Amino acid sequence: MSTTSLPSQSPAAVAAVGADMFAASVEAQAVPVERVDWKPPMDGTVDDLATVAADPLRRDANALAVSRMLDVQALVVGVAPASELLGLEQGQFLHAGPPIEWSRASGPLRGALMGAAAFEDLVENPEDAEALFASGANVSLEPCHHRSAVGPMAGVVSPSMWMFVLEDPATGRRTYCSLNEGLGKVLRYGAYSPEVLERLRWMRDVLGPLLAEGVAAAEPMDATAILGQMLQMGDEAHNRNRAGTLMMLRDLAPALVRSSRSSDEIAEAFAFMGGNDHFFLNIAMPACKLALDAARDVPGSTMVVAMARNGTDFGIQVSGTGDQWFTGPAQLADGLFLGDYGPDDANPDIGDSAITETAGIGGFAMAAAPAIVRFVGGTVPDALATSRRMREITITENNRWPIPVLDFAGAATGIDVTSVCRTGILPQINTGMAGKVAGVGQVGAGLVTPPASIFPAALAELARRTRERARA
Amino acid sequence: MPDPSSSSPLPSGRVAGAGGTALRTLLDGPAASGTVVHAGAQAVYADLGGRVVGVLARGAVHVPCAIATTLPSLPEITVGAPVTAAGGMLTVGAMSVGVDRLVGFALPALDAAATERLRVLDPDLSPARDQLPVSALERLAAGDPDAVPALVGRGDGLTPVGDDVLAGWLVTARATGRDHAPVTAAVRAHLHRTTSLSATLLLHAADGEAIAPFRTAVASGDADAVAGLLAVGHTSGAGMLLGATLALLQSHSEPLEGSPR
Amino acid sequence: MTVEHVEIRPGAYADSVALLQVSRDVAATPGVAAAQVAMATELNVEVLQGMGFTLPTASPNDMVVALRLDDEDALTAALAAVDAALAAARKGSSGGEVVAPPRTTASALRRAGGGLALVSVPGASALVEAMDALDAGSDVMIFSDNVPVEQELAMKRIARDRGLLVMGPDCGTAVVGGVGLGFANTVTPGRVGIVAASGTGCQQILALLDAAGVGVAAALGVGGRDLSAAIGGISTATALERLDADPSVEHIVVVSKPPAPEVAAAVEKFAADLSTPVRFALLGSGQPDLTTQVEALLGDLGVAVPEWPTWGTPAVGVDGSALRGLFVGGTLCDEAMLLAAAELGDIRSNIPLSPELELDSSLLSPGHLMIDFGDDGLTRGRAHPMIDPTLRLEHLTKVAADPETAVILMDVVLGHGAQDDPAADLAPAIAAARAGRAVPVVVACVGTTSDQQGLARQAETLAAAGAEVHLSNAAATRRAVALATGGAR
Repeated sequence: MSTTSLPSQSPAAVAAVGADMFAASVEAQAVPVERVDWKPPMDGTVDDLATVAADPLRRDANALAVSRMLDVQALVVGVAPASELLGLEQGQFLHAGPPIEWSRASGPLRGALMGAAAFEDLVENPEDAEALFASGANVSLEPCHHRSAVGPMAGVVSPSMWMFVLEDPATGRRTYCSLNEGLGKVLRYGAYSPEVLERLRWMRDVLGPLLAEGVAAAEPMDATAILGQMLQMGDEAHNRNRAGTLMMLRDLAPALVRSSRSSDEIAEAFAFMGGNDHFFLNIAMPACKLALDAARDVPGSTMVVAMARNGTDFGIQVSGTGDQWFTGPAQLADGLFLGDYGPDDANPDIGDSAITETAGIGGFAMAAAPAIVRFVGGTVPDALATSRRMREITITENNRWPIPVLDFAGAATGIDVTSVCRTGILPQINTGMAGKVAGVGQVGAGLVTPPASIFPAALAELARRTRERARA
Repeated sequence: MPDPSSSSPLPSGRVAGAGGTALRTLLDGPAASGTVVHAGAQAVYADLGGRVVGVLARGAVHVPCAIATTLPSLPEITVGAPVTAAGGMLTVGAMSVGVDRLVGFALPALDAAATERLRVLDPDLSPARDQLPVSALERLAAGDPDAVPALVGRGDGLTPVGDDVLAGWLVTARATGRDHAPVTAAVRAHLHRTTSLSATLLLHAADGEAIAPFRTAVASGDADAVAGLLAVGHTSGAGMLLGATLALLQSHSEPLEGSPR
Repeated sequence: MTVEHVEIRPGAYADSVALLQVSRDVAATPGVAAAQVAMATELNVEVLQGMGFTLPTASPNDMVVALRLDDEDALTAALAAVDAALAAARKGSSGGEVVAPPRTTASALRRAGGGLALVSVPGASALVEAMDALDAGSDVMIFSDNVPVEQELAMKRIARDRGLLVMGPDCGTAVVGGVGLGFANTVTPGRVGIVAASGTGCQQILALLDAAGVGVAAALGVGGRDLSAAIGGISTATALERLDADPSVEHIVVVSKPPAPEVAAAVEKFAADLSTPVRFALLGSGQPDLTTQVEALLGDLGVAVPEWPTWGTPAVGVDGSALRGLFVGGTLCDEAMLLAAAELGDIRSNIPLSPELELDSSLLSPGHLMIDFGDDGLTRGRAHPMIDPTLRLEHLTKVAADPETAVILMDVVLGHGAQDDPAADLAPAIAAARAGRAVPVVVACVGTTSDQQGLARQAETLAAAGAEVHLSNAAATRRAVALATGGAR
């Protein structure tokens, strides 16, 4: 037993939760008191919270889940078409978020699927694809997450699209993500005009093969380390990836210049990547997924391992409940709109990019990127408060991702379903907004949270499993 | 954030404090006044008619003559400022501190296993030892009061290292049941030769009172606790532990090997 | 007829997010139909053209201010709004940052850098907060009641596996290293360690030891159910271990209502294997009272038993036959009933010694009665009587007016958590009660000389109001019994 637990020695501090008179009384005895601002938990969760809190597996399960996650190093090891990497066949499409069928798919997801169908030459015109998807004949939809992949916004991946490959050298596990098309009218926001398809073809024919050559020739790029540096440089790696994109270019430039491609094509590729501040997002996302996938399937763990939206539903997956999705209606983001667009033009929240928040960056690392808080007319103190508030619902901090302005506290990492239900604090997500009509593209950007109901739902399943184990 | 003072049962300006029973008795006794003799952000000491009383900020090592508070730092005060002790409170500037919690400073009865651990650990006490005459340390180990004049007030600072050694010896000798009366008497007779703060701490030591890191280190013999003690002050911790080992040396049949350094 | 205004501001830079905010602010200005302030990047130029603006040639390093106004007159105001919004965007926010308080015990312990947790949330949520402490490697005191027994067992098992101590649930009193938690007294540091399954029983022991000049190293509460068969004394064993390992502790006393016999046997066996001697002060029929137990403990310590303090002049009996006890401390009420029943027979109570003696909700009945105003049944929706004396004072008036009442026995408990000045309310009430018929009032005033209310001041105030005041509840009870039976008349 440690000497500090001798009953004749006064406690160094007291954490007081509940009636204030007890806290005040201890304070009046010259003992430092940290008071909890306690509020009743989310409706209907009291019993499940007690069940899960008392689960003998929980503490160590969560410690194991986060340590597995934090041990992952995400290296960019390749770029190749989805058909090669995932065995994706003609007619198979991946999409963001939890599973969904065409009939419930939102405008931007439909638009992206229609554009992808045209890109794959399944139809002549994107508009013709509506009937194809409605019939369901020879086409299938599947979440990116079910194939170790993630996709921003609509997240649509078809066989000819090129993808980044990230690998954890210790385990050989891999994750995948498509290449970022830029901002404005792009497929992932549901746009499918001719210039969108033209850009996709250029990415397939020039950018993808060039990056494949460059990545193969260069030293493997350590995405985990770059993410740590980005937080020192004003990026939160969800809505701001400017520093990350530049670092990626810096790392790849020599190998790209030496590639077999013409200098015109290389210059074009540089201009494209350099002109797209979000290019690195599609590396940040699979890096986060690679880390979070390591935390999956730990019995008793209450840690969220995925948050994803398909434009209709917001879903989470939890380490202790396997591949089960807990879903609720995706919310509208609160933010600023491009041009004449307004709230009526926006589609509900969409994309797998909330994997960044799940991993502790994005909205969780808002304090590292105070510029982002202005999306909702907030202030720098709001950004600091948000990052601190997120720590109230996470299991730990990621010391590889320190936030300078918070005295280099690590990013709040490992969302705990029980903490969300106890505090009512919902994960804060930074996001882009897609137009709700297929074909429109991006209309704005802002902040959003998951629907509150999915956390009690996940908790109920965790409690059910806990009770089942107790009976066994 | 809730204002911590809002629900405090204490009136405003009144700071909660913790200290020994002797201090509480002093504050409850006849009114006394004096002046600030040392003022810092972590500790303020005042001389009340030859007896020094302190107020400490959170985190400062709690010496037996001081009242510990939870203040992150103490209000600014100048040396020479007036101090009063009356009605259970010590008032320094705008701050009034009471003893709202009683703290024990006594070294518990020592167990042989802890003493043996301490012996095996053989911590490096040279920072204290090197400043002091070998002959005086040998005499102190033997319980010889002639050691005292060469040690009282010897060294720099508010608590000279010679006093730290004597304090460690006095507290430990009492706890082990050694005859300490001659040394105690000699210490009392020589108090005028050291700082008033150090003299007060020697009086507390003569009553068996010492700081918690010392008590924990000597009572447990635990390596971490010893390291914690050695980190106290510049050489204070080492000095006190040296005093303790000198007291333990003669109280056990197996003599403690002197450090070869 | 709308008017368009487009101007290029070369070299003016603001980041895109700031400019989105600026655009929104300007668009909200009266007279402005649409506004876009943006850096002239390719994308933004497209957006502006999409809005119908005609742009001159500009580089991505230029800022474009594009306004569509209801009429020409609105221009000045609109441009002023642009400048104001740009200035605001550059200035950012002012004012210091306030860090929000922690929302969970885990967060509070993290911020405090460890320590002890003190939980007093509603019982249904107590385990969740307590588990935060156990997960952080901290001991926890749970004041909350109404915690399901299976939850108590679950957390105590986990605590045992981790070498941690759960004090409670329903633990009202603890002293850890001199820090009083809940309802606790200010004690002098010393060599006695206490394990308490009973709050006011613990406080009586603290008060008597203080009067005997004996200090206390710690008093660890374990909760009223710890020694039940369901819990099996898990926290009692941990508390005993802790005290045994503390070099400051030379003697241990365990205070509890009668435990389950098999648990008592197990705990006594456990205690026998410790190196520190353990005395069991278990209240029950035929068992010694707490004062007697403390006297025996003083014998163990080699300390002379003092004359237990009393204040005031001995009470004088009046007509009447019934003893009426009005308590705030459950264990003090229990102890008084056990002592008095041996002399007086049946005593009706809201916490009766046997079920048939249960009082109805009026709390009145002929014959002897003793009421525990601190019992859960009487504290629903109101504060504990140590904090809010209203209900007991009302009852004092009622029983004083009853000619059957021969003597009124009360307790006053001092220390942390209790009223700042209980005698200020009680003394006038006693004086008023005795104004008509001078019914004797005997008070057990339980506190230490260091308690902030001032033991002597409280006791003297009560005595001045006509009460006979004792430090020992057992002594007070014996006096009340004597007065009820006419022995003192």
